[in-house]
Amino acid sequence: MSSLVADTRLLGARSILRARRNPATVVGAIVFPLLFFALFNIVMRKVLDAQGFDYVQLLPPTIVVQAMIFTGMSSAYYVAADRLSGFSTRLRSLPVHRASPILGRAVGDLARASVSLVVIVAVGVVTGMRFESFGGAIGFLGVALCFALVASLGMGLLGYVASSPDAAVSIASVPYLPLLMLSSGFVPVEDFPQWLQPFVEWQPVTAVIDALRALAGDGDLGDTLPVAVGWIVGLGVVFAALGARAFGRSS
Amino acid sequence: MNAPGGLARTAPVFAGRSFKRFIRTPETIVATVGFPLILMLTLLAVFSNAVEAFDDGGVYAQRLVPALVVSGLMFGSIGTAVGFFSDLGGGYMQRIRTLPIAPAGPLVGAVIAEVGRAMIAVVVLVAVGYVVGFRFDNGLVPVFGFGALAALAAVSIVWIGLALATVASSQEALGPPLSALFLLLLFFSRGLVPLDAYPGWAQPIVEANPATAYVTALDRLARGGELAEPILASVAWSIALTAVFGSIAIRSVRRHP
Repeated sequence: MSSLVADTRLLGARSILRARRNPATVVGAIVFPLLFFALFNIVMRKVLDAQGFDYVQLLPPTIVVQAMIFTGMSSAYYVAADRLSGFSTRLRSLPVHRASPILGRAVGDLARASVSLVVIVAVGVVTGMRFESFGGAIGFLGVALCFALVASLGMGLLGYVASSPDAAVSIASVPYLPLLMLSSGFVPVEDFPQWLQPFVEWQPVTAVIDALRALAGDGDLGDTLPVAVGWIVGLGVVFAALGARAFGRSS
Repeated sequence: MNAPGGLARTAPVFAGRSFKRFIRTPETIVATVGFPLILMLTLLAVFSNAVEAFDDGGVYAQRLVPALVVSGLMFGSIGTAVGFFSDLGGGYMQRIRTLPIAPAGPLVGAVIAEVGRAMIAVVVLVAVGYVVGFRFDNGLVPVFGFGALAALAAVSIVWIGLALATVASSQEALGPPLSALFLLLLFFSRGLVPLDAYPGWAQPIVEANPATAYVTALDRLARGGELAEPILASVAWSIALTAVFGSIAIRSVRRHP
């Protein structure tokens, strides 16, 4: 048991260190989300405000979810890098606790997600976003981080099959764009064409965004939070099972 | 000029090579056609209701097709720039320089090949645009004007990437900065939302943006409306981009080790 804690701490520290030393990761975790936040505010805010869709309050949760997906993409990158460099194989020949590589990776994922989260929420609050209650704010951070873990588990799977770290990121961006854009994130669900609305309404990104908004004080918590938690737990179980298999095979 | 190694003879040869490389590079095709198409359909699905309400019912596809033609030219030109950069590093250009041909041949050829790329972007985006509500409402001649203006935009914009390729230290110092620049130009181009949707401070930036000049000219050619001013602005931007970035590119490619 002591090796589990010690090995996880060591591998977690490694995950954090290499993310800090990779400019692309820092840009992806901080600059990109802020850029999207600014651009959507500048280009779409007046258009959506005219519809009664309050961007100041409703856009930050969207950008948070986007950043959590970016966390998942960089997780895919690092999984592929470790696999292709032989690092993962090398770890297996050492007396390292079996679960530590995966837990260490999760530590790195959570660290990157937390940095993104703090920066986006801070900028959101500065531009006028408000949390209705302290408990809601804590719930907001918790749901966002849980979603980041699930996104990392899911996209990390691509790291086991991709031919290169960059290829893993490219494949990961295929589900990312439709899931993010075809969600309640940027416009109300009713704005979508009729045939698309069922997908938009029930897909996981919408569920998480709606729950985050409700936690901040916009929307009904009882309607949104169970759906989001259901998606997070369900996807988490599926991705973790697939990940355990892929991890076992990749030796 | 018409000597065997003169520019008039070599440039078309290099243009053919560049165009072949474009056709055979999946990433560039995706950047020129695939990405703008997906972006157009996505933006339509997400924002057409909101923007059409804001824009007094103006059809959103009408606004998006010109914007995404220009965006396809911008993002596709990154592939051209990266290809040229790998020529510079790969010893290919050194070999070319030992031959008795015009030194600007490869560059001018790459620029001419952009016309072919522009035509592909225009045909595909307009064809799909027609399905989702885009129309040429202005007679036949402006349709050709639309193609010609897209070609002009393509041969002007590509100089930015080519100039950067001759001075960039690595591919990472070339692609991402160009992507960031083009993303900003697209977002501030009046191509996604009407000018009055931008905050007051951003409106002068939008109006001064070269992408706005091209998008506005394409839009007016398709829909009708006052043409002289946007076309003049497009031509002026083309001259400026070519003069500034063209001379940087040609000058530093000669000095390139």
